[in-house]
Amino acid sequence: MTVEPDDCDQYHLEAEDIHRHFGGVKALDGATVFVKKNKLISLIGPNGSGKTTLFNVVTCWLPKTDPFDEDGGKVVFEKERIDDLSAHEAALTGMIRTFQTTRNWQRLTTLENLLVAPPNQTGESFLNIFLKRKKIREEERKNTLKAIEVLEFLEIMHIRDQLAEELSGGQLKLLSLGRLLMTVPSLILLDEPMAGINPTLGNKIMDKILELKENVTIFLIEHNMDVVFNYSDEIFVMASGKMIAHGTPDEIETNRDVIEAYLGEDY
Amino acid sequence: MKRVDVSRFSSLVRKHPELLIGLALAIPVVLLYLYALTTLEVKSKLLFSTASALLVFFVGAISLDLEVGSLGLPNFGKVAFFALGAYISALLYSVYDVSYLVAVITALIISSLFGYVLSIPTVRLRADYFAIMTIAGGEFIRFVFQNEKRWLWAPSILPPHTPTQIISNRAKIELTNISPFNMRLGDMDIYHVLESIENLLRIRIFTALDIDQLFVWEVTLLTVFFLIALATYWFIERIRRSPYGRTLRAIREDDITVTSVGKDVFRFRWQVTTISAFICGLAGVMYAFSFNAFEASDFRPELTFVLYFYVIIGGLGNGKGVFVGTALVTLFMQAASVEAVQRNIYMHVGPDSPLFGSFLEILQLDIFINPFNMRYVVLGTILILFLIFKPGGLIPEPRTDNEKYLSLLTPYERARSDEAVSARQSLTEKERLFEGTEDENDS
Ligand SMILES: Nc1ncnc2c1ncn2[C@@H]1O[C@H](COP(=O)(O)OP(=O)(O)OP(=O)(O)O)[C@@H](O)[C@H]1O
Ligand SMILES: [Mg+2]
Repeated sequence: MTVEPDDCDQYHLEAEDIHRHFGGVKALDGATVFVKKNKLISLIGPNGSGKTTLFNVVTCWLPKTDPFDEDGGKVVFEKERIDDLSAHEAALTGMIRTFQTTRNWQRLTTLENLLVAPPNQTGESFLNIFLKRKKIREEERKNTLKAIEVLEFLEIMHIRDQLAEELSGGQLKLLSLGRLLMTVPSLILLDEPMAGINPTLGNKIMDKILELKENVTIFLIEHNMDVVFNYSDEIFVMASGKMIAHGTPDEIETNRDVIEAYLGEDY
Repeated sequence: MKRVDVSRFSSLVRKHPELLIGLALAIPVVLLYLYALTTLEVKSKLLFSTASALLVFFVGAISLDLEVGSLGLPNFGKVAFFALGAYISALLYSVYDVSYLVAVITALIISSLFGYVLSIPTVRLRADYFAIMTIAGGEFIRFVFQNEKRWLWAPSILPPHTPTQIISNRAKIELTNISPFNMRLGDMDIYHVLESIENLLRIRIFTALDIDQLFVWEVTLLTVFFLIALATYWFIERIRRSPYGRTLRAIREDDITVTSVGKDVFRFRWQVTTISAFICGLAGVMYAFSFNAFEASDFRPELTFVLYFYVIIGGLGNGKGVFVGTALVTLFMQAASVEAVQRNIYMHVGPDSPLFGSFLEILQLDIFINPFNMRYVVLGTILILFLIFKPGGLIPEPRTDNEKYLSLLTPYERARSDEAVSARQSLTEKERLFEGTEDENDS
């Protein structure tokens, strides 16, 4: 089960031979992923195997390696190297992530949480506040309409007027998903969107995510094996900072390495 | 009739519990202030100093509130911008003979630059370390003004003109000596208008407050200050209500999420500290007019802390709250500093006080307590109580109202969303109950 980039054109995101050390801890030790366009790709692995760290490096939240290492691998997104971008610049390329622990703007309403998200708003430039009032109004209207669409899509319209600090954990997960949809992403990276969520809602979130697949590539970290094996097009398996397997759900299910490293004997 | 009024008041209180706290603070302060007024021979003197302090500090306080209340950046070096504004405008005008307008603009530009520099560490620094750094920054500026003899000291007026720390404020001295500014309001024709208003109202309010004793320059200065304060208030509220302000609040809540949707948090931070430094520098220029001459020790960190009193007691994140806080604290401070208040309202704690006298003798405690020397104790206590019980302040930041956005939609678009809201709201309660039992069954 080696990873081979056969046809480069179909890859949306490539991260090759990524190294990331924290002091002596090798969180990523030559990890490689290739994410195909408009597919749902899952990343699984035991706790502490470096999944979140891989997300952090790919989305430019963390620099590769540590200061002493020269070559930490390369990250290519939509055929352009993005290693040197800062986190917000990387997000502007259309690669948007969520966090393992949900983060939200507590004292903003759900609607406002969505309205902040669209990038490069006219009304976010200081001078425009005073000069382009009409354009801002129009843009606000457009964004509000879109936010309402997103709320409808996620079926959380009823929390429209609530502050984020008044929402439940599951609602917050949906809200983070909504925020991400407001940015028009082409690749979304979801770090355990189903953790701490009841199975019914989990399946609902998953259905919503699948609906997105037409226009968006999804890269998912998840510990819920049912979800991963049911919904993924491809699965990457990580252990100790390395990719130990890659394949379709069927291939992975029968892979001995994976069973030993992760799923356990009795799976 | 009376009963109706009472019930109206109580329902008002129920809706706004802050009102009671506000009254509990405002009534003693206003009484103290009125008492202070009655003890004075020329009452308008106190009125002028109160109004000018209020306006100057209001401008300073809303610039602080933009940083702390909206962006969540605790700037503890505000006094530096007061110092920069006051010093640079006064020095350039009185020592370097630059025209006053150019002097003020230069002061504001330098102040803004310093604000920008201050924002650079926010890329890496957490809010609490930023606070510590800014205290140091404020002290640094003061020490520079105190010790840089060649450029920042003024030659003394008397020969041999050796440099001195004391900067005389030529702009103010000139203003107070040029006619018609050096005339009293009572000698001007305009005062007749006020008199006829008095006669109309049959309340001799202007006479009672000795308004005729005010100088024309005082009235002019207050008018200019008022316009500046109003413009600043409008400007900052405008920022707050825009998408820009919304993003600022999002950064205050969680800057990491803001970065994750592709926004440059640092851009917002440096813009806000720069704008806020500009406004605070302007407050410094205004502040200079409280002095005929000033020196570095007039710009101690207390000035920053007083701004925090205003902002926290009044209410973070909104201009109205800041105004109320500034007004309350300024009235108290001004009243407490009146001599008769210090002399007449006091408590003696010492060997001859009742009950604890002999105990106090052992402690060798013998002090007079009056509103003036207790002012920071009083304000500090109130501040702590607010931080614990009412961190939002007297007028809390208004809960964001989605109405603003929903009103942009057409009635049809809006109705669709509103219907979904109300339909689901009745449903969710049931759903929650149902889900609750389901979870219990699972475990
Ligand atoms: N900021 C950090 N500083 C030091 N060590 C870190 C840091 N972030 C991660 N690590 C280490 O890197 C390793 C991988 O962590 P990572 O968060 O990527 O795991 P994960 O695969 O996401 O695990 P989980 O499934 O529990 O979320 C761990 O051993 C962790 O201790
Ligand atoms: Mg993780």
